[in-house]
Amino acid sequence: MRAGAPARLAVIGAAFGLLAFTLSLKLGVADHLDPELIVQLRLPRALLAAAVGAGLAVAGAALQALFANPLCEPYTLGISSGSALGAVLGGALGLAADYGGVGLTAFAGALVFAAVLQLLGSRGGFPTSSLLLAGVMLGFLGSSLVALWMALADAAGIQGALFWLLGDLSRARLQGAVLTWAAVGLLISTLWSRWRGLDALLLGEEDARALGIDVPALRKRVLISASLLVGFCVSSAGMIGFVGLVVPHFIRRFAGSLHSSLIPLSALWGAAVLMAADLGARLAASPYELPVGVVTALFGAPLFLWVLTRARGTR
Amino acid sequence: MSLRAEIIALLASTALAAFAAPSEGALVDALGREIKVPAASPKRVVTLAPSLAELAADVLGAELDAIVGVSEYTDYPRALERATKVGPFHRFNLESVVALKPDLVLATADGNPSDRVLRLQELGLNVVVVDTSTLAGVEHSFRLAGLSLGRPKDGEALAGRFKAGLQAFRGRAAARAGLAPRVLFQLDREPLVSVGGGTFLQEALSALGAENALSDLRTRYPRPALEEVVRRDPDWILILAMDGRESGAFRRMADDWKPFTGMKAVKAGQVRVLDASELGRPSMRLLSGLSRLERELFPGALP
Repeated sequence: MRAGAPARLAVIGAAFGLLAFTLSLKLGVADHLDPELIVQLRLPRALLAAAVGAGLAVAGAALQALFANPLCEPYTLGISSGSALGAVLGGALGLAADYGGVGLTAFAGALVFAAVLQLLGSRGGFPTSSLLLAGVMLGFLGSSLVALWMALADAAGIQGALFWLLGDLSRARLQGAVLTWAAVGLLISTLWSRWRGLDALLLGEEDARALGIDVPALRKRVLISASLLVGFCVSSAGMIGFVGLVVPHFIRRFAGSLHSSLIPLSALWGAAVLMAADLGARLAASPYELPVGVVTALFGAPLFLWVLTRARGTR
Repeated sequence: MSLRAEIIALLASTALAAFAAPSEGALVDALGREIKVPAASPKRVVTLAPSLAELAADVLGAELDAIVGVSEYTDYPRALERATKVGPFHRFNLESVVALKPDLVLATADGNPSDRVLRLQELGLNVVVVDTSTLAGVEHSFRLAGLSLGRPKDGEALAGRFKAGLQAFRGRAAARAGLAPRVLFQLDREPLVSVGGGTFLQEALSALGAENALSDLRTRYPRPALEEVVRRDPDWILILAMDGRESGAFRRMADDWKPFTGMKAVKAGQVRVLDASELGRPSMRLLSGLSRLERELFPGALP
């Protein structure tokens, strides 16, 4: 990493994000620009995509540092499965598929799973690695319950659920998108304010303690913030994979692992990447819409593999 | 999320609206709103399911130009193939619909996702929702379409024609009293998807005096275990060949049953593929579909 790399990445990210945002508003199925169409449909979607992308990327970055595990992503801890379970239950109860209905039960599901994890973690002597395993197990539990519902539900109902499970931004509404922005912004700044502690964790828990970091307190705060981030993102847009795993790694490759820059850069790039992916999802197979999670993985995986090999070559 | 839940929500809103008591004799759509004849007949109509395009076309007669947008797989009448496609019924594209600037959107509670339909309404579009999950609902949908398209008399006449058509089937069924074969409809294999209670297809069977082998299941399109089907041992297994798929797949579905030589349907050679391009559409063409089904189930018992 050279000096000035974070700044350069920030400028490129901002330009990319701005371009994705502008194109998101400009391009669509309709060939003419209709102000109503833009304000009512495209703007809420672009805003929600940006908020969710930023939230997932930052949650991923923080959890990777907390668990010292590069494979961690926002969904590893199973909180998203709790959210999915909540959404499915809300749907089965006949609630409307919006923020007040299924969105609320999805968020409640995330909170319940996060609380269970928190209870386990707050018991003295529960090592961080066991906490990770506990999260993975909770995730299996949640997704098997969702699968159970899918096995018993109407064949026709599964289509909608499947889309939700792969990520769906089409429900975006202006008020909801603004709400998600506010919540995600607040939680990102909470995590950002802990950058010193997260940096210290890179050295391992023992060394972090030696540096005067209160590790259990930090663990608790990061877990709560990340859980809430995932809850907000998943309940408003379904389970969009890949952004939270890959964006932080991508930033680390080019701008280093220090969290003072890693967290804001992850937010910026996460937002840009998801806006671009949603644009692709809307346009690629029009008038069909693709699940946005499919687009992020389809383009993201090969791109990231390329970045990996390239980085090794220059070293 | 689940279609059933969406429909329950829609029905619940209908029930609530019943308390709001629209004026005497008023017609109410599946969202519980009173539908009145508009001041000017709609000129830009979007239909969100193939059956709804047929419905609107039946009401409009020769004036098909008023239909500007249709859902994917709309294939009847052929003239509608020129209309803009707005995506499949279960996931139509909001932006495509709004961009067409429709003055009437016809939607169905039996297939369209309720959140998207409500979103169209939020965006200020004139949305009329029919519910074709029952035969009475199909009949009602002619009246609703007639009203909202500014042709109440045509709608009423079509509803009457549909009702009389059903009545004829029921009359013949009564004459065949005592003959009530139990039928399993098959929609797909691996997993086996069938038709349960609370569907217009189930009612269609009873109108013919036949019985749905899965009528007690509350799931509308259940996936019963193979063993369950063997246990229920229906007299007929009819594989519904909806359009848009190669016939080989349906042939294979029928062949799957061959090893079950103990089953009544297999013994009697009553595992058949049935062209369901008409039977699958809750519109006027359902009557032709019913005739086809009647000829299949009761050959020789026809006038």
